[in-house]
Amino acid sequence: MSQQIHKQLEQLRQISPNPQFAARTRLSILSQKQNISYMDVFVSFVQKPMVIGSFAFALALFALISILSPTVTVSSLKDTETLNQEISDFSINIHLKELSYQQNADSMIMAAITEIKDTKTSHLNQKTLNSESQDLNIENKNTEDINKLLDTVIF
Amino acid sequence: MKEEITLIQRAQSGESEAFGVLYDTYLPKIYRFILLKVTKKTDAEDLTHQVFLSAWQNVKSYRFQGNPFSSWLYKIAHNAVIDFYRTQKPIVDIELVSEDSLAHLPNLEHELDRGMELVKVRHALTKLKPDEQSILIMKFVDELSNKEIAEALHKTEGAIRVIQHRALKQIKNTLNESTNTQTIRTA
Repeated sequence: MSQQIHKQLEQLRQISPNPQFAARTRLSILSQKQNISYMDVFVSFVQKPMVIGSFAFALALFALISILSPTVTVSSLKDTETLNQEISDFSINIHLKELSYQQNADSMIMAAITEIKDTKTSHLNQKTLNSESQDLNIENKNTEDINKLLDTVIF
Repeated sequence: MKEEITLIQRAQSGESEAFGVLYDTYLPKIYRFILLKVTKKTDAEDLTHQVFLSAWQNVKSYRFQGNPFSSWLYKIAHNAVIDFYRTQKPIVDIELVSEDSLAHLPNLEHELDRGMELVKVRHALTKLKPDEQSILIMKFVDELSNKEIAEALHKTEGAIRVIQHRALKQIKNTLNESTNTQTIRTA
């Protein structure tokens, strides 16, 4: 019975497509465009000798620049202790500058106050002296009389 | 096999004539497989067209893994049939099936007895589960190896052997029942 079933199933091999359908479908399918696989496009692009050469050249150039360029800044950035030291030194410098500025300001202020407070010290301001000299009325008649009297008393 | 690989590579590089040769080689098998699964000639032609169109458009994604190109085509065809039943849900008319299948069997009009036997087999096949149908068609009609069938249906070779044994048993029972019914009618 099994062999008979096999034979019966084998007879189904006689089924074949209509030749007209086969020819029409063949023509229709082969006139269609294939799908573009972006992965394949990328792979074929990457595999091109020009691309590989350019990539290798860029890599070599980058390596060369990395080797030749000074790396002090970069290495100091990696060193935390050096970095902390640099930061603390920077802070001290700022404080010292502030301190010297304040000292100068203090001494100038002190000098100004002392000058204002001291009434005995002659005034040395040139502008004030000029204005005072202009205020003096040397041509005054009383002044002449006083001068004559003084001359008489003294000589 | 080497020739086939060369043809596939040419098709992958966009050479339509190379794919044309693959089409001519595998069209009868794929069409037969689909027709035995969907039963209507027009549906079988539509699905066959879809399968080969999909194969042509996606042949670049095909990777040779030791199995013939037909395994890949059967896989596409199997999925196409599953999709067909998922969307169409057709009512299988056995009488129509019989006429359809007989209509393009060469020289069969003159061999009525033989034709009737084929109708019975077709009828018995429709009683099987989809995977059982696929395995019997691939194994005994299209002469694929268990390895190729396993590859096409995403199953192990062991599973294929078990399903094949079960399907043969089932089809034998169906054919026996059919013969008994006919004998009673004749009597």
